[in-house]
Amino acid sequence: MEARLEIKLLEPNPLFTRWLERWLHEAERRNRKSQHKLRQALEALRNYPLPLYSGRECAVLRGFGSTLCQLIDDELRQYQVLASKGTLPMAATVTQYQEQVQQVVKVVQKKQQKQQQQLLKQPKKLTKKALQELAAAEERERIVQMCAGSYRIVLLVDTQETSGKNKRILDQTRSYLQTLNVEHEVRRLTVGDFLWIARDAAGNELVLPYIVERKRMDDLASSIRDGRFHEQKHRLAQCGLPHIIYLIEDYGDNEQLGLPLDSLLQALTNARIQSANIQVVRSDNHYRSMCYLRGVSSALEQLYVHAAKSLHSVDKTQLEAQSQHSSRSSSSHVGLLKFRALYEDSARNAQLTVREVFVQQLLQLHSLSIDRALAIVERYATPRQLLDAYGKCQSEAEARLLLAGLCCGPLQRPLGEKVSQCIHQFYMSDF
Amino acid sequence: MSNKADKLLKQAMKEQQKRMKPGECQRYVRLVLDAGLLRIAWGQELIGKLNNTDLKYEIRTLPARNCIIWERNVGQQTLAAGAALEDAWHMEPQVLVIFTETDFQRALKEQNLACIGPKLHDAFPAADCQFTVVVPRLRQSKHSAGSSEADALIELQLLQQLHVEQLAQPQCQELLALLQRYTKAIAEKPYKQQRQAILGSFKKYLANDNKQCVRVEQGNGYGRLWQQHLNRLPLVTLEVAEAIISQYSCPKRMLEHFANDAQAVQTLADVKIKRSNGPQPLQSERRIGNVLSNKLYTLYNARDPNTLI
Repeated sequence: MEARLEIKLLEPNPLFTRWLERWLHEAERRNRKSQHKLRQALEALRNYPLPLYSGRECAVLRGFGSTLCQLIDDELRQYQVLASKGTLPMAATVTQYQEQVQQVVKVVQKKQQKQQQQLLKQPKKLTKKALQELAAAEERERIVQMCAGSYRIVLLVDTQETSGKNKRILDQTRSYLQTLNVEHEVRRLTVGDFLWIARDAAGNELVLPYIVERKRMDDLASSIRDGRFHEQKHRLAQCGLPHIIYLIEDYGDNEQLGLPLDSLLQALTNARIQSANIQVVRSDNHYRSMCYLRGVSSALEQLYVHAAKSLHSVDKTQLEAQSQHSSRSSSSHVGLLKFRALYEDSARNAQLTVREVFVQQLLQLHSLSIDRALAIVERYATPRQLLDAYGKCQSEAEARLLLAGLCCGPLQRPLGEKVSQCIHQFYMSDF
Repeated sequence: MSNKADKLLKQAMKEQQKRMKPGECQRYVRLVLDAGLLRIAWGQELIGKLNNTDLKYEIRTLPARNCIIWERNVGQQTLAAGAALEDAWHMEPQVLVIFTETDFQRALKEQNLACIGPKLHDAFPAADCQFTVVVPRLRQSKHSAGSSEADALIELQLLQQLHVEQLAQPQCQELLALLQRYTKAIAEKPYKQQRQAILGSFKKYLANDNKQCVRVEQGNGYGRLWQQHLNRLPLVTLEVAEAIISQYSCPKRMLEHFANDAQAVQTLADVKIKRSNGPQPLQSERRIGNVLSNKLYTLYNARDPNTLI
């Protein structure tokens, strides 16, 4: 990068300045007429930024007549004689000055280079995307505090809260909630159908530890049949909120659902008993379901707002630790998840780890059960680790049987030769 | 000596697993009903019906009135020389409390529903005990939106963390069906929890993927297995998988290419995808792309299992 260097000498002409000062002083003392001219010359010299190397050069300046210039030259000659003898320092010369200027330029150039290197080491000027990511990361780290009285509780309704593929159900939901005077907001949720948040004036949002999944009986039946029910349960359990409520709505007479009613009820009982966090609530129809939500909203108002609880943000592991320690919500300071954190964490396409993909791949083999796949991954956590182990084997026979002895499942059954050979052949042979 | 202990331990594990199996497990679980239930309106009727089922039950005086609990026969756990095998019955952390119509109405009127929870916790102090309150089904009039009864039940649920079951008429029959369901669920609980311990450690639900499993027999099927492996990555569709396979017919070739060629990732990224729709004027993604290529590289070369793909 080109830059203009401005070199300003503090005292461009020290020698001449001092002489003039001396002569002026003399002239003032003797009250000579020359003092006026001298004064003028001195001022001019002081203001002049460049170095002058002889009296004749001084002629350009105001107040320097031919006599004064001659005087300076005489003085200079005397000075140089004395300087060469070693009693006084040498007067500046043009070459010297230029050398000095060059030195200064070099110093400045070095400094510039250093600065540029430092800039390169530092992150370059951030792009808009990088800035956004940085801001998002900061937002995730920030701790939010809401003291009692500073927040409102709002019910969030998922935009996809339908039991058919039509918008009519959502509209009905909203109209019921409006009739019942429930403060709510429609929003895209990545998990669950209904959530409650505490929102303060600044717009921070913390999620109360209750999540509702509404299912009509016919939905329940179809989701059990195609396996979605268990996957949904899993995702709800993974989201971190400690209280999951399945709101099961009757569908007419609950007949012709696609599965026997008893099977559905058993599935619900299983969910209730076998997962610690799930509660099942039955309702007669859509309207009653909304009444239930209204009831929960006001109970939460009681629990949090009237009880004057103060809230602060925590992450998933802290939340889990909190719910293990205090069995009942008796403390006046409650840690809650941030809505944004929950939203991003529960999104379906969140990133997978190598371990997870490896396990899924292993499961593709018919004779590999989950127990067996887990036993393999516990020993060789990534494909590369397995391949490295194959590489370290002394013979192919050894490699083929590498996995045969792994103990799987609670009964610690060995994986077996057949599966071990199968996996080895898959990764190591051509086909 | 250690061999014998190992053997016995293995035997104990086997026995435990057998007892957990769905189908078998119900034989090892029994109901315990509080004697107070005999005195409620349909108490005798309930006992009569219970006798007609396979459910095992006992009647005792329990720490709280009108409760029902469950006990599991866990078999003998300790080795005592010469001692006859005794059945050890452990209480399950589930308690049902039956409220008759009169009891419930009285509790509502006297507004002491809030005491139910603490009383139960005192009676059954086990830490992880879950409580269920069984009440007759509420008659909700069409026009009252927030009946105090419904609100009371919600409070029970939220503030005291009690589960609520509403029984329709005829109550005896409904309760019996409920007990049968609960017993089955409780009996199968250890088995399910064992499964859950495995599945729960993964964020994604893994038990659903079994529909397209590949049977590999006599060396056939590896090709399809390779395709299934590729499909596990979120970005890989059928056409993308076919494109990758056209480049690398087996994982060995891809791994070798990655290992030997520094430009392998770029080469893979540039592989074209054949779209089944034929040539079209506006087509953006006809190549595999850098993102997917890098993901594949990471998948097969990372040593840290927590690396994000």
